[in-house]
Amino acid sequence: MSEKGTIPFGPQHPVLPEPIHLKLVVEDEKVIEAYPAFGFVHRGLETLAQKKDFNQMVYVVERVCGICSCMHGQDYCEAIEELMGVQVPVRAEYLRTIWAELHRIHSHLLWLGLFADAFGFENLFMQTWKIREKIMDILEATSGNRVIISVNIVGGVRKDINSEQAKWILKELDDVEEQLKDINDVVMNNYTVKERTVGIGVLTKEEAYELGATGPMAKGSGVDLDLRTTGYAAYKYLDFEPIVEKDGDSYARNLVRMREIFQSIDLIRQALSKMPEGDINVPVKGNPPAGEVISRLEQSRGEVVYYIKSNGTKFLDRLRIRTPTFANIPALLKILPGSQLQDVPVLILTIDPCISCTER
Amino acid sequence: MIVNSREVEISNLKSEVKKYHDGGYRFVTETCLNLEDKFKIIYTFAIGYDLENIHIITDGKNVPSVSDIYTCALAVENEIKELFGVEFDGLAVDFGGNFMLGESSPISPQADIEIIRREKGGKNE
Repeated sequence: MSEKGTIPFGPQHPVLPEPIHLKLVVEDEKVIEAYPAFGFVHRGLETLAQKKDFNQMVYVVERVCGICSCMHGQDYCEAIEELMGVQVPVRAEYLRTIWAELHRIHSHLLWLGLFADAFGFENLFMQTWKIREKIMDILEATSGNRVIISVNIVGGVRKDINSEQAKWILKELDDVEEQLKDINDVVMNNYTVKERTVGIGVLTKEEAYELGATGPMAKGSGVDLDLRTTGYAAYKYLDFEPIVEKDGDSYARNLVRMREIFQSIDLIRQALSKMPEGDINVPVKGNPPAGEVISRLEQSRGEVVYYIKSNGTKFLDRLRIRTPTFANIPALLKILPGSQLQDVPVLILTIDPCISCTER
Repeated sequence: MIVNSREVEISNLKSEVKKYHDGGYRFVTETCLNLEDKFKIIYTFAIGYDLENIHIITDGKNVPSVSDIYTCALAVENEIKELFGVEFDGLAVDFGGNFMLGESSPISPQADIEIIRREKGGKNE
């Protein structure tokens, strides 16, 4: 006779990099229902926009999330620039793109390590994080910081990449690519990895679209949406296609992220080879005019949406950030019921959750 | 993109949202703003890469939930309920004030006005 019970999962759990609480209703080892609770790292960052100068807010939004901090700053700056009618120099567009793609690589590698650790593959965890260190070194050498790099300002960027650094970055990326090829076979063909991911947590294309899923969560289910194709920053000058898989399981989401790492390396190479000489920012004077703007871009985890309402002063009336993990929560709640308890950690990590983003 | 949202009457909200749903639009988010003694809630939908926005003006009471049309709206509506105190009618899953905030958190911390108070033991605190 089956037995029904409730298991609290998190907020402190060995596989969770950040605190999220799930109340799991289980029947024997099978999950029947899942109810989430957040709020353990809620910092009220949106409210700070009413108290901090709009230029200072660049540094606040970077702290929404440590892993895609650069892209938070970029999206915020692009929103303010649109409101103020500011056109940033082309070189700044390229530099933003390069740093954004470096962040995508280190974010996906960080996720892959945590994901491997979630099902006990510690060697893969260590290998991916070892490779990731090279990307962190590039970020540090070009910006002065490893994680929160603070390169974006309203009007462009505050750091440049010179030709010597560009050559060194290309060399480092060659090395990263070689090492990634080595572990790619492990990630994609290893028996253990496949056992824990193939056919696990299937989200159909229709479900992904209906539930508003985004990023690799949606692309792994066949939803062909990647905001980079809209051509913001320097993406309009680069050749690439969105990476989409069709099976909708944890393995498909792995595939999307792995292929996106290689794609990001290619995009950085293209950007470094095409980046023109010129200014890296333009002076911006005055306050944003009264108005409302929505700006979006493709983060590592998917579409981030910035809504800004300005009142013409240096303080914003409202800043609202819809982060990709927030959009992927309904999809997570869809794939958890029916799964085995042993798969819950894998399924949580398969959405690449960023709880700091979700709570802001 | 500069926001040009269209105001709809609260009584027509669900039928308008249903049109977006049936037209193949993806639900993006809802954004709540303080408007002196009222709230403005902007509903954002996307088709392909294009966005469309509608909004309602409400006193924060008995706002019809659209989570029966777009299930994924339940997360943001629970968040708005907790951070602004807006009451939604017919939420697909109501987390009872424990989705984003804890029991000892400030009540409706982002609202200029207070609509609801957290209940404890059947009575208001």
